[in-house]
Order: sequence, then C-alpha cells, then structure tokens
Amino acid sequence: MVDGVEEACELECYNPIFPRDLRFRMPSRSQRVFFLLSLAILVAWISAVPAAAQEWDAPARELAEKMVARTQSRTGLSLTVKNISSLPQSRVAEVQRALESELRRRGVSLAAPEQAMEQARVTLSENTSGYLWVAEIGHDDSWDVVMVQMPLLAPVERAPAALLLRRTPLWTQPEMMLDVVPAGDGGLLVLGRDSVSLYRVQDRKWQLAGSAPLTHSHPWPRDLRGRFVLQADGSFRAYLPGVQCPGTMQPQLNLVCRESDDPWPLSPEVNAFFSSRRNFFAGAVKLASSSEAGDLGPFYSAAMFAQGERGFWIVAFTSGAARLINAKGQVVTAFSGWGSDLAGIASECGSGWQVLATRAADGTQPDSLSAYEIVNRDAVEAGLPLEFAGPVTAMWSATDGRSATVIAHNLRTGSYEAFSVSAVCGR
Amino acid sequence: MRRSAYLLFVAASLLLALCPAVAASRPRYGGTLRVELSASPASLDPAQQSAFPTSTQEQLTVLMFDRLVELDQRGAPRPGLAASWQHGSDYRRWLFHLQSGVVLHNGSLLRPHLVVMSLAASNPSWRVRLQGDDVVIESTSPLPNLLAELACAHNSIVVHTEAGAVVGTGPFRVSAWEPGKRLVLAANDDYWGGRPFLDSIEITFGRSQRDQALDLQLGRVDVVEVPPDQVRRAQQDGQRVAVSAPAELIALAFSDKPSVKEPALREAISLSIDRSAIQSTLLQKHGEAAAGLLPQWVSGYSFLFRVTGDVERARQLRRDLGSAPSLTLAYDWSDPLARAIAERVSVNARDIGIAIQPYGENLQARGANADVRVLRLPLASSDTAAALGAISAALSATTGRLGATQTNSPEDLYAADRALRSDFRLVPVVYVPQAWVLSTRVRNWVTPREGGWCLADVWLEEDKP
Repeated sequence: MVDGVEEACELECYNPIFPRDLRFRMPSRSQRVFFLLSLAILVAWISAVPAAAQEWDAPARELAEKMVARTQSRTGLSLTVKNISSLPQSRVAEVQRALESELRRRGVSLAAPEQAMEQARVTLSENTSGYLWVAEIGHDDSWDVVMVQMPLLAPVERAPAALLLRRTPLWTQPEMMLDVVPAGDGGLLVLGRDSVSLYRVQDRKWQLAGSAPLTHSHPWPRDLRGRFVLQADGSFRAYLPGVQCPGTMQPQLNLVCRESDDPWPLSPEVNAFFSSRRNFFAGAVKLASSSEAGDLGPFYSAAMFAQGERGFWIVAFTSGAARLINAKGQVVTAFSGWGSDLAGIASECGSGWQVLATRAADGTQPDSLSAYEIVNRDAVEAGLPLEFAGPVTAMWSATDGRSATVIAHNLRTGSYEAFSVSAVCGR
Repeated sequence: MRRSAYLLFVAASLLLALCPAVAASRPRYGGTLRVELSASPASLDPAQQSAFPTSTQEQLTVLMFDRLVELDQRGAPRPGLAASWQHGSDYRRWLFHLQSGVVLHNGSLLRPHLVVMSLAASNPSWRVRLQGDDVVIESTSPLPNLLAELACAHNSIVVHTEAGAVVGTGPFRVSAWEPGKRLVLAANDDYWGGRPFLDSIEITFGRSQRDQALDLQLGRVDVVEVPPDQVRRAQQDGQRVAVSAPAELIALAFSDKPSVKEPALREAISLSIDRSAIQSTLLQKHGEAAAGLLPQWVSGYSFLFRVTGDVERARQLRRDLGSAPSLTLAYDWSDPLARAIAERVSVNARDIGIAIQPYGENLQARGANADVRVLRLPLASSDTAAALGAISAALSATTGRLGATQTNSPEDLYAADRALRSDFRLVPVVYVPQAWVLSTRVRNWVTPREGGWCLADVWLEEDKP
C-alpha cells in the first residue's frame, strides 16, 4: 500500500507529504493520524473533482466546438471567462479548466491576451431557461458570437440542524400532493389533485404500481385539501371536499369516488364535516359511533393530545385564533402567532404529547413547524423549529398518532415534498 | 375520552367570541380587494386593444380570461383550458385536448368551436380548426414555442356573444364596468381552477400617484402602483413593496411619417440617448438600461448590446443628414415616468442638433399623431422566444414586417433581436420593473418576475376590531 501511494505521488504530486528521511521510519501516533486524515481528504478530493468537472464536460465540448468553428487560426487564442450568472464564483475555475481542455483537445494553442492573435471572451450568463454561456470570438471590431444553453445546477440541500423534531422524507413530486401514507407492504400511497397513486419498490427503484383518477363533478376548491385514512383490513378511504373515495390496494389499486357530505375523521372518536367548496371544516362535529353532534364554528384543523387521563384539543379556527379546549368543553386559553395547520403527536419526550403548529405566514414564504408542550395553560415551545423550503400545505396526524405527515411546497424547486415528522428526545 | 371530546366541541362554540384573533396561514375566503391604477382603459375586450397592449390591459385580461396553457413560475408549461396536448415532430401541427365542463361567465359551456374562433381571430397566420372535440393548430412554419405563446395574454380565450358582450372563463367575472373609471370583478364560483379566495376586486382607474399614495395612507385602498424611482423610498418608509424583475420595456416608437423616414436620423437619436443616466437618475437604479428588446434575465445575451451612447457618431450622422426636421414626441399624459424620459430624450437629441418637442397625450384613448412616441411594452412571457415573438408580432402588425424566427436556438434569438431593431423603428431605452405597495391585510401576494398579477390566490386578513 505504501508503495502504491509512493507511486501515485511520483506521478501526481509536486511535494511529498512527508520528508524523504521520515518515510521509512515507524510513524508516531500523531503522524499516523495526520497521514490517515490526509489520505481521507485526498480520497474525497479525488472522488469529488471528477464529479464536479463532469457537469461541465458536455456544454464545454459544445461551446468549444462552436468557438473553434469561428476562429481564424488555432494558434494564439486568448481565453477569458467572466461570470454574470448565479453560478457560484468558486465554480468558475472549473468551467475555465473544462473549456481550456476542450479547446486544446481540438488543437487550439492558448496564449496570454497580450500575445494573442485572436480573443475569446466567454461570459457565463443566465436566462429563464438556465445557464447561457456566450462566447465572443474575434478582435478589434470584428466579433462572432456563439452560445450554449444548459439547465441550472440542482440546488444544494442544506443539512438539517440538530432539532427535537425529526423529519423523514417520504416522497417528492412536481405535482401537488394532499397526503401520503405507507401502504403497509412497503409501498406508498400518494393522494394527488387528480389521482391516487400507489408506488412500490421494484428493482431497487420506486415504481408506479397503479393509479386511479379522482372523479368529481364540481371544481375543486382553490386551496384543495384531502387526506387518507387507512382501515384495519388494509383498505383505505380518501377524503376530499364533497367527495369520498374508498379503495383497496390488493391485488391492485382500486378506487371508486362518490359525492359525499359525510364527515371526515379528526380522531378515531370524532368526525367533522368539511366544507365541500372551501378549505375548512364547516364546524359541525359528531361522534364516530353515535349521532351526537355539536357545532364549533368553521376551523382549519384540530390537534388532539392528552395529559394524564384528560384529553384536550387545540383548534385553529378560520378567524385566525388557535384555542385550547379542555375536557369539559371550555376554552381554556388562546395562542397567538400560530399558523392554521395543527397536529398532535405522541412521543417518549416531555409530557408524552406535543402539538405541531405551522407558522403564521402565507403561501409565499418558507414555513416552519414548531412543537409545543402545554404547561399550565401555556404553550411552551419544545426545541427549535423545523424549517421548510416553502409553505406547509398539508399536515395530518398519522394513524398511530406518533408522527405527522407534512407536505411542503418547496419554493426553490417548485416540488411538493412529503415528510413524516416525529419528536426525538435526549438532545 | 370519547365523551369528553364530544362535550368540549358542543360547549366550545359558545365561548369563541371571548378570545382574540391572531394570524393564520391557510387562505381565508372573503373580502374585497381595492386597487387603484393610473391607467384608464377604455375597453376590456382584448380584441380592441392596440398591437402594443399596456401592462394594465394584460393584467385585467388574465383576471377575466383563460388561456389554453399557462406557464409556472419556472416557465414550464402547465395545463390551462387544455388538459393535454401533442405535436408533430416538425412542430407544424399541434393538437389540444380541452378540459370538459368549463363554464363561461354567462353560465353556458365553453364549446371547442368557441376556442377555435378566439384563437383564429387573434392569430391570423395559424390555421385553427376542430378535430372532434379537440383543437388543432397548424402552421406552414414550425411552432416550437407554441406553448409559451399560447400562455401569453393576447392568446386568451375570449367569447363574443350575439348580444355583443365579451365573456370569458377566468377566475373573476365582470360585475360592474365604467370604461376608464371603475371596474368591479366578482369571484367566479364555478371556476375550474377553484374559486378565488377574494369575493371581489374593485379597481379605480385614472388615479394619480399622489392620490393613490394618499388613499393608501387613509386605508381606502389595498394595492397601489409605485413608480420605479419611488421604490427605494417606499421601502425605507417601511411600506410593503412588491417589485418584479425588469418587466416592461420603455422604448421610442417611430411613426411611418416622412419626417422620420431616414434611418440615419433614427439611429442618430438612438445613439444620443444617455440610457445609463436615465437608469441611475430617473429610475434611481430600479431598472435596466436597454439596448436590446429583452431584459438580461430573460435573454441571457442582452449584455452584448451596447447601452452607452455614442455622441460623436450621432453628431456625424446628424451632419450627414444636412437639414433635420423638428420632431414631436408624444407620451401618455398619465405617466410621469414616460414624461421624464421624453424630456431627457429631447435634451439628449438637442445636444446633437436635433429638435424634439415632447408633449402629453391620452395615448390609451387614441393613437398619437406624433413623429415619435414613448411606448411601454410589457414582457409578454418569461420565455425568451415567446417574449421576442410577441414583440415581433406587434412590430409586424404596425410596420408590416416579418416577425422573428420561430426557433429555440439562442444564437437565432440574438440575431432576431438585432434584426428587429436594425431599422431603428423601435429604439429601446430602459427596462423597468412593475411595483406595487400593499396594505397590511393583503396576503399571498406573489409577484411573478415578469410582472402581472396572481389575484386568484390573494386573500385578505380579517379586519381586526
């Protein structure tokens, strides 16, 4: 192995890592650590550089071909590269190297500007279709222009910060999603605006295993909401405004939608009627197993949680208020600064129950999710908020009550991203 | 727990009024959005608009009418009135499958033949016909950018009824209309894309910028215009300012009158203009000096065009002309920025020995009789080819010239941009952003980079007691 490294260094390195007289001595502990660290960095660098450079290979080749076709002579061409696009300046050198390499491969000898017979001024520009590399080739008043268009780089996801709330990505797609649930057999059921889709892993890839349309006679409300409820027998029901679609996943996805004003489940015990032409629950609630009913007034969402034997609800009303309601049906207190989507989750942390709440923002801004514990009628924020790259468009407690399915509209990519959010302790 | 849950819901409704209201993030239905604009449009019918529709006309059009295709914020096409589409390999033939059950504002169904009539009327060079319930668009030349073109406001589907009314399928329908003064739009409850959150929009036209600012201060209005040179000041005053990218071209449009028939005269005036001074002084750097037809963020190549003037060359051209006539330059009298630019152009032209007399006129009510006019040209699309194509089409309608090439190649678009300006009939001066000041109760306001409104998604915070 040492021989291999030495050989590699003779070929690739300008300065050996260690002085020659130390290379055959037994290294000290610190030297071994240093060596291993250096080796790790070297390996990482070697593996990273080609990947980064490869992104520019195709456009650099295309632009170089066009440039060479416009040059008068292949000797004495000066190349300057200027960046006026959103491409990070740190990556401009990669582009320049790729272009120089492609030009040399085509027999062009590059020269310093003062010695050049001809100039090539490359501007890394950008338009609504992506990056636009523009090359001006010529001298004095005679210039030819060639261009290459390419897509923008994919945005780099930030590493999540250490938080009490943990999110697990479930699904991402460009089309709107209303809810996502695990299908039980390792599959994933996705409720879209127009269809229900079932995905399963085949050949180590997610594959569409089935899709069924959501039929409805009235236009959907603009801020469309919908959710899945899984049944114990493996079947499911999709709830949408004015429409309900019971379905099965075995042996294949099957779905039948019908107009229905039946209430949606808020919890296993309580159902609530959802407005068929709006984005909120109309206010009427009833018990799942009886005809007893009441009226709350219109609300967006309700989170259930327990403290000991006592059950509580926090309801986000359409008026903008979020209110804590106790077991006697009394409004205990109101909370300010909360958004309109709430979900209760059980965990091993704190009191054992947390309420997740979105931020009081609108659909143009990135959202965040905060976990609250209710202590002495106060909502105490537990840990740091979980940030999203866009507004949270849906949040529903999972069937087991230990997590919530959160769907966010990523404002950078335009995609809808579904996560399972749960609380983790000990930090 | 079950009994408790029931009890709490029954009792809670009695106690709601005791608690204070706070902000909410999910859209709220209801309310009237009040808007004031300086423009005074005489008609809501896109067919009666000039070849160069104003940004106000385009904004109103997209509220009331739909297009077959829309572009999302990244410029990708998405279904509008067309649910799906196909095209031939040479892009000469496109087939659009329409959404079913779309209802016009007068309650009748949007039939495919109405779509055909609308598109054929606005695009005489296309052959638009029915194939079953599908719409077919054919052209002798390839139409690779057709989807982006169809997303432009001028391709809105407009139905003229036998009674002479104009109806659409858009998110808002006309409730009251006093030409040039006031427009009230009501939410289309049956809108195929979902009813808007607002109940109505009330737009008052012909309001001066001073009156708009005053009304905003007094809480009488929710949305007012703010000129580019006032954007920074409004932001510093802590107002909610929504600004697009540079989205409207201000250009000089030369008439075909004999007084300006000499291309050298037009070129001399173009070279005399100090665009950088206009951008830095008149616009307070909120805009972009323009030498090409599209802003840099749309074209990616506009930096190649020289925006700095060349006074020496302009003077040489002027000398070569011998005598030069005294010219008139019209600007819209309700547009202070157009006036300031016209005056600056006049000063620059005087420096090279050309006399230009600027004057204000109601350009929206009637065409100018001037030798030159200051034109505001809104960006028709964020798609480079579609945006250039729209300018090209407008130019060909006014000058009888052929339009730009139908291509996606950036080099060809660059060449077309140059070719369209080669005779100096249209001389770009600056690109300006669209900007608005919003009241605090306006939510979900999205400003597309290319300007325009997305009012179907806007909602209003509930008034606090």
